[in-house]
Amino acid sequence: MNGGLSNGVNGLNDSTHKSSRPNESKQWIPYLLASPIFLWLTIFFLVPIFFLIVMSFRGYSPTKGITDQFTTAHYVKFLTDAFYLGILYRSIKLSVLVTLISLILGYPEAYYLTIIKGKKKALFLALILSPLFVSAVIRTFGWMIILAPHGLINSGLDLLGLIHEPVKFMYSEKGIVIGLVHVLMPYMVLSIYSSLINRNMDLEKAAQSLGAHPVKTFFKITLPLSLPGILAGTLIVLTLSVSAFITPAMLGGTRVRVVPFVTYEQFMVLLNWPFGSVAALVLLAITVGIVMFYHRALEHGRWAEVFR
Amino acid sequence: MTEVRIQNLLKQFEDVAAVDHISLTVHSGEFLSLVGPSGCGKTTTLNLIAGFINPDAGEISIDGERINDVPIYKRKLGMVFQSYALFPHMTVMDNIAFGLRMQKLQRSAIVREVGRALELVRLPGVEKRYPRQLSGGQQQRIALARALVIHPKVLLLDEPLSNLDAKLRREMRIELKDIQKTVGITTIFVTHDQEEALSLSDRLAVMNKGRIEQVGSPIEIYESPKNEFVSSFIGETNIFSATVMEAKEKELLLNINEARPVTIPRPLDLKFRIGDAIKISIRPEKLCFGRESGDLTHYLSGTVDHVVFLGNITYYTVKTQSHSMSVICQNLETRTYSAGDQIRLEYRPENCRIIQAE
Repeated sequence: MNGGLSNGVNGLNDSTHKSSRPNESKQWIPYLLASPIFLWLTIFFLVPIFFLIVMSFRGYSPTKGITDQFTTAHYVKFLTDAFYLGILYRSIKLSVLVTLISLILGYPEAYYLTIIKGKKKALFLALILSPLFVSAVIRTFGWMIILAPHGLINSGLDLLGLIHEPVKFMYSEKGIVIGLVHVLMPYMVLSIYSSLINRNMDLEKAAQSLGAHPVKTFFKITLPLSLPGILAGTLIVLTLSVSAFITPAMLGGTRVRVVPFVTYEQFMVLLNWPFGSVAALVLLAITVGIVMFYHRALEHGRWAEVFR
Repeated sequence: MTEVRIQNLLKQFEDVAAVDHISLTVHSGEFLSLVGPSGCGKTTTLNLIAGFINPDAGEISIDGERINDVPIYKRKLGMVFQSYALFPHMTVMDNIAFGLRMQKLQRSAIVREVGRALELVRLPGVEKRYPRQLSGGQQQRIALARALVIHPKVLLLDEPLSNLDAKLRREMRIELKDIQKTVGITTIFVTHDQEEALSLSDRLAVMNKGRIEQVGSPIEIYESPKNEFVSSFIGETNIFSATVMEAKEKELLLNINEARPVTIPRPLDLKFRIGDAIKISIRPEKLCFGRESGDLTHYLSGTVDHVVFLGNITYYTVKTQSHSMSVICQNLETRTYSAGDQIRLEYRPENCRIIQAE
């Protein structure tokens, strides 16, 4: 059997073999196959970003509009004005918060989903995915009703005698976090679920047979091995929440601004495209930075083995 | 030195009894195999002993103490899985040390014990590697080291050699037995490979459809199978349906629908009458081709049908009047037989076993 295998390998390198050097001629095929998506990404992603970058250095005056001047004034303004820095900080803070809450709430849901079967599982899965069935605007309207000063939650808390005046959910960071967690949790749950569902149950049995009780087994075996799913889920939720527009716009409005809202205002209302571009690009740069750092940290850190 | 006892163990899945009221005692220090075809209940039995599943009825005890209600992590058992189940995100060192850390052992003691365990399985120096960097055979040894390092009361092995290629399997078999003898631990080994069971065990428990058909030493099981299942599952055999023709003082003459009757020794504990139907089994290696000067009483006439030369033995299929029989001959003689040869198959009466008496 070994002899047969080595013959096969020798055959490929044998120069007297008919199609000598078959590998060389086909090396460009993968690139050819990937070219449609490269083209698509270039046209619809890279090119627009390039234009944004160019736009961010153009001058703007309230009276004349966008000028042909080259200026870094917008960057200076955005990065030194406490107002805008505050908004930048809030955007990132909220997305981190949304990610953490989705992780903490979503992990148990994903775990439970791996245990149940049949109709129960189908029902539970539908419930988890339900936020995605409705459009963002309609869904957020629903939250506006629930979170309003005399909406469902406040009325309920009042009825129970737990509060004396309404809790401010609307037009506050609380409301934004609730709305974003609601819509982004499915992504977290499904990412973690896909990591958990194919795990080798023998590992948990082995750990227990070696004296680890179930909780310890979870933290030492199951959780570390589900890290790839956690990484994927947190990345999705982080990036989607930092760039979210509709939910913060409706639940926060102009009172609780996030960077995407600033971009919208600058582009659509104030017509200050250069400044709007700056806001968008700064957020993009920071987000990419966070993602790369986080990715690196996990794949080369203490738990690197899990990703092999 | 630990004795494991199961009594009247029952485990049902839906309406099927995977383990159907079985009782068994594994003696201190013994290597006992649970062997049988897929679905016979051997792995379920092992899982019940380990505590991964709970029985519907029956008792499991270790050294006289009932462990039915003891959770897995308190049973102090060592288990080796078919998939080895090494923790992929931990080094060899951390894998083996896992159980010791659960026992809250001192760091220096852990390092020492892990070193000893690796020497026992003859893989010193691999502490810093990860499981994925090891070959199948090496992984299996690490799994064994991990199970033994915690000094468990009993070692449980669930088809640990099934994922290895044939040659490695045979090598690991010998090593496994050596290690077990060195450590002296009571061992329960599950396999569907009867050759493996025969070569490793002090005793075998042959299982079928949730029941234990027979328990005994390899020689007992092989030479004195109690029924048709055991005689066909362990080793090969020729089985004949027979009727009692004549009952002499020390012998029975049986009609197996051949030209000549078959003689077997008369069993002392059973009563037979003329016309009783029984089944007998005779192993292929217990048949040999007769010479002119050979036994003139205990033989059957036939024609050689197929010949398969296997090096140290030759496997023949012989057609007799109403049967097709397997015969195995050691290649001692220069005389070989070919298809079409008319031959005489000689046997010794004591090699014909009764496997079913009605």
